Amino acid sequence: MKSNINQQIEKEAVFGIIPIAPDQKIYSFFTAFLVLSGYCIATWSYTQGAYLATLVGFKQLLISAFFGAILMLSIYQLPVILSVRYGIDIWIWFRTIFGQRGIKIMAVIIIAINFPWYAVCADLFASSVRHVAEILGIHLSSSAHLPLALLCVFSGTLLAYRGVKAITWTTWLLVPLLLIVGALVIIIGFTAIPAEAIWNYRPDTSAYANPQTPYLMSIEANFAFVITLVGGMAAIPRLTKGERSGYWAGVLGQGLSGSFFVVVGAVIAIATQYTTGTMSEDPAAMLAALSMPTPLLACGSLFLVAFSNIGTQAVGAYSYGVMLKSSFRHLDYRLLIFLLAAYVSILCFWGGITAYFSSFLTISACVYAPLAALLFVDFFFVRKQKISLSSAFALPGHQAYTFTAGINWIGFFCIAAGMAISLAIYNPVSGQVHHPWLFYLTPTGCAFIGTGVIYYLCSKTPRLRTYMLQDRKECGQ
Amino acid sequence: MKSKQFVEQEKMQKEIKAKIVEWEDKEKVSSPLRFQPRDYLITIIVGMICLAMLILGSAL
Repeated sequence: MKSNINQQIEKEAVFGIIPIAPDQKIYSFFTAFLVLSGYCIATWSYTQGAYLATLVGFKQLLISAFFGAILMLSIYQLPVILSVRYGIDIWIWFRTIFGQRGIKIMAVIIIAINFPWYAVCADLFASSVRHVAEILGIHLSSSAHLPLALLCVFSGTLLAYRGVKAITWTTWLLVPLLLIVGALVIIIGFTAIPAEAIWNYRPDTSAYANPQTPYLMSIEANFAFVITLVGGMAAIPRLTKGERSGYWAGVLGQGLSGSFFVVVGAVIAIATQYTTGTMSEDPAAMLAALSMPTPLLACGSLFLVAFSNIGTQAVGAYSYGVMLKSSFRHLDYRLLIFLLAAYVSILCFWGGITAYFSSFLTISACVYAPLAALLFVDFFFVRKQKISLSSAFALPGHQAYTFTAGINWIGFFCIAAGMAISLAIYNPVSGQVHHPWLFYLTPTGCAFIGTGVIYYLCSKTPRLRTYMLQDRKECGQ
Repeated sequence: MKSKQFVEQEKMQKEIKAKIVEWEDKEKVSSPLRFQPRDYLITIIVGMICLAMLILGSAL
């Protein structure tokens, strides 16, 4: 059975990435929109909403959450049309930017910066279970938090270990579960306090010298939040029947549905502050505080939050396990998911991921924004929408994406430059703004524009152009 | 004698090549509905509206 799972994953890792022919496409706009809506809702959306509520009032929060997200999505998701056209994931296109070996390095970097989300999940699970126990009259001390978080990681990994079938079942259960959680949170949040209290809410931002800084930070947080989806943005659109459908399903699925759940998170954070006098960033604590008068509702919603986190953990471990397997085919899938679980467990032992949530978001965006910019510029302006599929899949006799021993150093140089731009504007750990004027464009926005310009200029330099574009003959140009 | 791993790799490459050829043939017959200049225009308008709203939001 064990080797059977490994073979199934091997099949998924290799044949799950080959081009989908036009007649094999299965999704219309509406189906892709629904699937992507499910994909981008997770309980961490509430953490993001609660964080935004510490920065801006409700009206500004609505604007930055919806319009900020849709603006960033409408730009960086444009290359999704390549996935629909070629029927491939963007990770295949990235081979043209980083090289056949370079993409493996990039996959590891992306997982390293993305996996802390799963430590947030584990933290929420532990918090939810502790609150359920509290409501049931069982006091669990804070020392129980870590074992509970590790239990979430272990359970999720166990599901991922059981392979494709278990994950398919988990996904089927997870999306409705998250929607039920969302509905309960909405009911609890909106019935807890008067609507005017939410509408007129304003946080205390007297600590900021420039009154615009918190608003800009909220826009940055939304840019950073949506751009972290770049790695998985093409998995569903590559199966859609039209380029327009694939693109708008991504923009609206994540921009409307995802942002809606962020706003819901903000509403419960505001309601909690209104009723208890303190602002919390922990959705489980907020739900427990708000639904205390109806213990059954409190227990039910917290149970659902807890178990949806196990599901999210399982789907994350599985999808990143497959991603690693497609890069490192000689490694056993089970070893890979064990390594991922070990990484999340270390983060749980550290215990600071929720406290450093905003820093973690911006640090992630430091890498994601240059990554998205490279894809955008490469697709539209450098390779002009054409690649050699034979070289991308490294078929014998096709080596246009081998570059220097499998690595395109220009791609890595541009990523480093983009990160430097972002960090030169804003220190995500200390929260210090270094360049107030550039901060108006947000660190993520500046890193995106800066990386794109540098990469484009590289492609216009004759010697670098020859190095970057070795596939033109194969593309018939 | 070829090793088992080498044979498997060769088999896999043949299958991928066949899939790419199949994709190229089908793409010539029925390519997915393309993103038209009108779609780019709509995207730019949506982007401009979002940007304008973000600027207006700073005055709240």
